[in-house]
Amino acid sequence: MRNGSPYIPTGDTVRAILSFLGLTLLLTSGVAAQQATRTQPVTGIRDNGSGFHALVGARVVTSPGQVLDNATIVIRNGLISAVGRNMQPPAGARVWDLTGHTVYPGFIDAHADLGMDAVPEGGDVGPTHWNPQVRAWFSTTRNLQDDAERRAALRSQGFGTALVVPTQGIFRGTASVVNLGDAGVRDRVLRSDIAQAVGFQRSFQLGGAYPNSSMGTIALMKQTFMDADWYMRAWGAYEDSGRAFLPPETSEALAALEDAVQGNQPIIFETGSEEEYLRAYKLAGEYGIDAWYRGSGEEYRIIDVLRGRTDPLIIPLSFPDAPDVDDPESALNASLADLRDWYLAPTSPAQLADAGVRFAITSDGLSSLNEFLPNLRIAVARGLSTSDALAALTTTPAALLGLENTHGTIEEGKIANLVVSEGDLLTEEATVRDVWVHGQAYEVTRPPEIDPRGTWSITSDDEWGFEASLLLEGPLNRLRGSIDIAGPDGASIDLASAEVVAETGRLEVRFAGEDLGYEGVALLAGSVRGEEFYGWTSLPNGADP
Amino acid sequence: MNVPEIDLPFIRPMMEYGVSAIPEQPAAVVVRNATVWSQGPQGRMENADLLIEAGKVVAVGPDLDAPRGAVEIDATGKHVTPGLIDPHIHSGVSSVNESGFAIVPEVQMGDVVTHNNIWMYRQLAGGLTTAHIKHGSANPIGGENVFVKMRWGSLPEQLKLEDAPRTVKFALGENPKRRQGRYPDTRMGTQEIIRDHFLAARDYEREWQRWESDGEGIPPRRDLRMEAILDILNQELLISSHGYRADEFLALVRLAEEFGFRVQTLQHGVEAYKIAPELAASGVAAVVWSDWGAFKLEAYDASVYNARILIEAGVVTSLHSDNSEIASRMNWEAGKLLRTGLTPEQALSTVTNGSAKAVAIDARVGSLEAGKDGDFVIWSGNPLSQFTRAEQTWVDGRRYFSLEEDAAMREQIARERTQLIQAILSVGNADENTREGRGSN
Repeated sequence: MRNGSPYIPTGDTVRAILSFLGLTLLLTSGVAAQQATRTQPVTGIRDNGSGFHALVGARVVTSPGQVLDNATIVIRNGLISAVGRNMQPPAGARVWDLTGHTVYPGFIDAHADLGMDAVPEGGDVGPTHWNPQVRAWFSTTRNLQDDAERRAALRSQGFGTALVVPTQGIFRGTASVVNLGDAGVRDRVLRSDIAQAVGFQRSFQLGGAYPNSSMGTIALMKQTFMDADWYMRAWGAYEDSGRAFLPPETSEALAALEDAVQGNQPIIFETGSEEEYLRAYKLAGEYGIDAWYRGSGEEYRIIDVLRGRTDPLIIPLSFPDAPDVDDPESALNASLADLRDWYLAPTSPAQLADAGVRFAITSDGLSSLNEFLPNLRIAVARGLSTSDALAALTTTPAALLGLENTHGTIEEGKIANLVVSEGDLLTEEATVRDVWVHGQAYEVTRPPEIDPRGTWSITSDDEWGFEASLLLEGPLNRLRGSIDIAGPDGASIDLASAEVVAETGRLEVRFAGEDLGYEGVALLAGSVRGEEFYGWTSLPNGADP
Repeated sequence: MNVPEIDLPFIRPMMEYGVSAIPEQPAAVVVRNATVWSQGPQGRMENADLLIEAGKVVAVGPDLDAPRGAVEIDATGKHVTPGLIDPHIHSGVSSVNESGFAIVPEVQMGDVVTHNNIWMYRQLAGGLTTAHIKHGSANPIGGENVFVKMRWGSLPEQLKLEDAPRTVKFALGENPKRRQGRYPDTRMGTQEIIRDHFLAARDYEREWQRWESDGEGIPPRRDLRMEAILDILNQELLISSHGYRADEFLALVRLAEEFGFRVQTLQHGVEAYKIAPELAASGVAAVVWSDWGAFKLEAYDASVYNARILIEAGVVTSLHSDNSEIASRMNWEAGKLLRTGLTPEQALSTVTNGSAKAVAIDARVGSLEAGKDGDFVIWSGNPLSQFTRAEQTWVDGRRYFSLEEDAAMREQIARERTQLIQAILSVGNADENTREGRGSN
């Protein structure tokens, strides 16, 4: 009994192997030659990476609407040291052949949820605030321990930089700009605690009875703005008096709001609807707040109000599901509001751009970060220009976060934050290959090292005398094809599946055995070596042919 | 995803019956040959005209001269009344109760008015033009209420009645005392916590006065709750109190008198008839139901003669709905009062001029008198009949509702729905993998 049959391809195989640059995942560091400027002693052997790279042959989108074909980017010590066409890679640089790829400035998420949602058991301690929902003292920099998986997930969507926004409470604390590399916490913070975050939704984890309504929440916001103003004056009067009476109370929360209520530090209002935007806008006006707004995705409903506004607006790409209209009874339950929302929400970014509204796009608000790029493409397909889309992910958030001199474009002297994709990320289903953060490449998708596409001739080297022709085509990550088996019992069978297994470099092909007289699935698997493919077939039930 | 092109005009609110723009305000509108219920000194007039200019009533009477170019409406056989007023609804706001503390007059319903409110269209279609949106009854002293006009298609801020009096919700009886883990637990406690906060506000005021005169010590802090209670004591924030029983109402009225001010209205008031002379003497208005009662213990002593007894005792009296649906047919509620022996004008007053007076907005609305807002309804017949329909509802001299436009909008809605449903079906399941609902954040 034989349950496997070795085979060797014959010479007329039409195929090609794309030999790809072996991309190794660079772990940490790139901190070579920084002995004198770093505080942490190196344990073990120092990382001796050169930090010197040349990316060649790519289509480079240097800034929204600006493209250099077949360009070279030179990276040295984390910065872009040169970019241009017709440049030879400098001697000593590690050369990355990116022919056929597109490079963008690294994306910047101006309102990232990076976890940071842990609440201490038993509540916060210390002279905080009588209301547990007021945590303005909470610093994302001091508490930076965002999780590596979420950073990797953000990188997979092209992001290299993010504003980490705290998530708990009504007054949530301060947001900080971080890079999304895997360096230690001391190497990630770019701008510490630059804005206060405030939301209209209380956090149930924090407890407290008041407020438990939307108007109560706004009343607490007003009172807290006023209290923060009073707190400064109360302590000022106390010190000015030469401490002639008992001191005022101590409140870290009110102290933390001092800059914000004087208009010297922005407050980011997280809004859950277009109406919450209107409410936040009104509050900001009444209390002299320098407001940024995390939008809801429903901005298209007040596009007439927003027209021409330049207050920073950071919008999510969370588009609603289509209402269930599968049968007439279900369709009756779909309101016009929901139907319109389904149709119009994906046009909201385009409408904002057309209305001259200054906005950035965030990945926040999605149920899975993997929806980000697909939804971005939907926004583009629904009218957002690619340059507006890119601006909302690069130059606009860079300016908003005070990073315009270091981030947002691919220019000499800027930090080497890049997105490398196999095609146009905004219009095609292109895969992000690498994201560069501070001059380090983080692999996102490993391209298959073997390209088995083409026609293979298959013969068995035993008494079976099996002869067949295998056709493989389609995109590498979704191969399809057919197998033609020669002889009197021959058949042409569409493949059930075909894939190159990344871990083993093996090609695995499955097809139904029925046409060969077998109940079940036939498996053909083997290793590709050069022009040869050597392996086994496994027939259903192990039966003889 | 290739969705079909659909031309969807911008509408507000972005839902059924949303409109692309708020209606024009003609320079002049004259309604001819109607039975006009002025609800003012002119009473009810047959074959009368109503003239509106620049959104305000100019005159009511026979054969009025209208300016050239005035919009002429032939209302022969129809009735015209002031726009109806409901002094107690809860639709049109994002939330109703702030129950985190017993005393919350610092919260303001005006902060959370929503334009995405289909009830407004339905209420407008029933002839309602002004409503008093109340905080809930979870607190002895609840939040500040807000007046809105049924300016369908406007943004929240534009819905608010301009220069309206400020009113605050109080609540007596069962509701404010049944919140677990929160004082008060009894009716005595309700009265006591109100009194204690009145006293606290006076102390707060004295602290400020002392500091303003000597500037010594820690500067006082502005406290929105205490400021609101001071406004109550100074009769600048008018009390609109929920309650059922006569005894606790009277206790509140007496408490206010002790502090030198007046309660503006008692709301629900199923036992108000028991203290009608006292209310009249204290100048307290009553806002009651036509025939609701006995639905809980404290509502057992209800009488359908409540409104009549109050009116006859000289109490300013209004009906209210406390219910989004009933607010869309307040003329029926008034009509029911005919069975208690009230005259038609008296009955209608409980949803028009009486209502306006009860909540202190009668300088603007409630009757068709020169200078008042051009809020009126053209009815197919006698407004007190349940067979009568509101054919047109005007607010500020703008026609916000008419049966004709409503019919046209229904067709437009049906067309849009068909197009959108077809679009979903044509896209099929292809996009379900890539599109998730908005998260809960």
